[in-house]
Amino acid sequence: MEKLNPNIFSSLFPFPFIINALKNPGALLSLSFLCKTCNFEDCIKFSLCGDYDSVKTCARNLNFVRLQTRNFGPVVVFGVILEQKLSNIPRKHHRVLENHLVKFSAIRDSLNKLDRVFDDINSKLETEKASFNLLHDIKPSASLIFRNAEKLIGQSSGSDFYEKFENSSEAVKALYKSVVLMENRMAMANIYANPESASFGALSSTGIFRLLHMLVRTFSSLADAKKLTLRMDGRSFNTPNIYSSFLAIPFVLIDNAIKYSLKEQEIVVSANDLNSGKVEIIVKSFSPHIKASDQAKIFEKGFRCESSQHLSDRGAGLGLYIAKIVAEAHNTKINLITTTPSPPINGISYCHNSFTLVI
Amino acid sequence: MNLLNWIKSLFSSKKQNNLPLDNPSFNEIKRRIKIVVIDDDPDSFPTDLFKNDGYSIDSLQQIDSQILQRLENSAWDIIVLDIQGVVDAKITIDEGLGILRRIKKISPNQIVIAFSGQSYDLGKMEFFKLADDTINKPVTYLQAKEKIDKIISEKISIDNFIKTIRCLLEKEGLNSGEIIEIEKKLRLKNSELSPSKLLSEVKSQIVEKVKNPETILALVERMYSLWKS
Repeated sequence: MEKLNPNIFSSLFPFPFIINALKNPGALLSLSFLCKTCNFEDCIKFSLCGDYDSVKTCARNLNFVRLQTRNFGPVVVFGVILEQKLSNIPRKHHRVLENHLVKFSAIRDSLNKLDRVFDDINSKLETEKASFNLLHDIKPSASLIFRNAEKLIGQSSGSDFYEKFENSSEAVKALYKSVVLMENRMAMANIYANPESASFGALSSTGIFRLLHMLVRTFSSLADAKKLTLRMDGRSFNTPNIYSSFLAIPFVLIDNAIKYSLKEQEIVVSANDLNSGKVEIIVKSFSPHIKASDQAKIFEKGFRCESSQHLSDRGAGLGLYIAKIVAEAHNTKINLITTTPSPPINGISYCHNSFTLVI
Repeated sequence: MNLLNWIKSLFSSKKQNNLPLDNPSFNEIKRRIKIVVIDDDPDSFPTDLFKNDGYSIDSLQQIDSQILQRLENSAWDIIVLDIQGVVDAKITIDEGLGILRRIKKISPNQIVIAFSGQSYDLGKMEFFKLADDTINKPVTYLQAKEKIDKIISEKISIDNFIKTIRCLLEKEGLNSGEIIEIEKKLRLKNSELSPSKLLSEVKSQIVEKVKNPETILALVERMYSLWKS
């Protein structure tokens, strides 16, 4: 594991310390006036190659000691009084240096505590990383599934892949659509783990209407299974510049709409041109009313409102959180407009929820 | 010469003196450009489908010193590069990132697409940021094709080639006047010479003025082969 940032250390460690040959005040004990005006820097030289746990005395009669840590590398605590009696310091400095009289055991205890805390944090981080490495190990298998699905399509008649897809059986088409859904979900996992990846790759001018239409076609089987009507609407020819990650936004909105819509209702995905080359996207569905107090929270990591939990025990509350990350990478924002809720159906109030954004 | 022939000669000389020499369709350009996919997993990229669709695409699983030289000399127009498991440790310990750094140092305008499923890894960000574009793994054919087609439409252009050549000429220490002169000839402007004669002249000029002309000459040849009839 890499050594942690010294800034983290300085906010937690009580005593003045040196890491990477730089002096830092402690979180509780600042630099003494003797250290602030010192030009000898014995402690800094010692920090680069001194013995561990060996208490030294500097030219200003203060102590310094080099200690090993697991998470921060070698640390030198300096500008304190450890072994020498206070009487060795000139009387005029006694009052101000009284606070710098510390026990070696106190320093050692602080460091051990910090190391234990960060061992625990690192262990949790390693577990998270292992989960993503496991996901990474699944990817070659996923690639194989994709290639085999494409081979099945290749067996259909047609002059190119698109034609062959159209001429494939419904089962093969459904398989390929599942593959596309899998592809998008795995891409979203990457964004969750590393939000900066939402802006990887080049911005590219893209026909939004065509993109949404492709997505609607991909989700059509899932919508059909729930007896939902999923359709496109609007008119858009603008081609705003977007990253590859942008697809995650309509993906999440449509996925959620299908997951939470009342049966036999309609989901409408629309794209309309605005001035200056922008496009307004709206995903509208008849789904559980989201109360005003929850409307901002639904974009928070892990949040699922009560009705969502009631309708489906699947879901970690990450979809809209990821969509928000991608929206921010595109300097835009997802808004929610709700209508008046209906009388409850099976204990849940429904309304028309419209998730909108401008790109 | 009669009046009609004189008028015809005016038009034919104009046609000779301006690029593109012909105006290849997107399908023709896609057939002419060279793509290489470098990945130790042969199933990760839908190479066969690209070949079936008329793209000129090579697939490599490992980079050795010979291939590295070809990469550095812009032997391919687009490189799709995996981050791990593709390089002999004798060449670089930094794997795909090490190769990407080398290519970008020598040919900053070489198009390289980062092809990896590790965009989640904070430690690998430099690889993705240094590349011109990204394709996440796993990828479907349609998604990969969309990305490649966009790059061909937006970046494979005469202007891009000339920008790369200009960059290399500047590195070789030519002054702006010399570069403009070469550039004009590359764009085949205002000349009575045929395109092939003009290019021959440009190549001689490059050989005369540049210490290491091989990479630049290869690019000139490549540009000409993409756009000539």
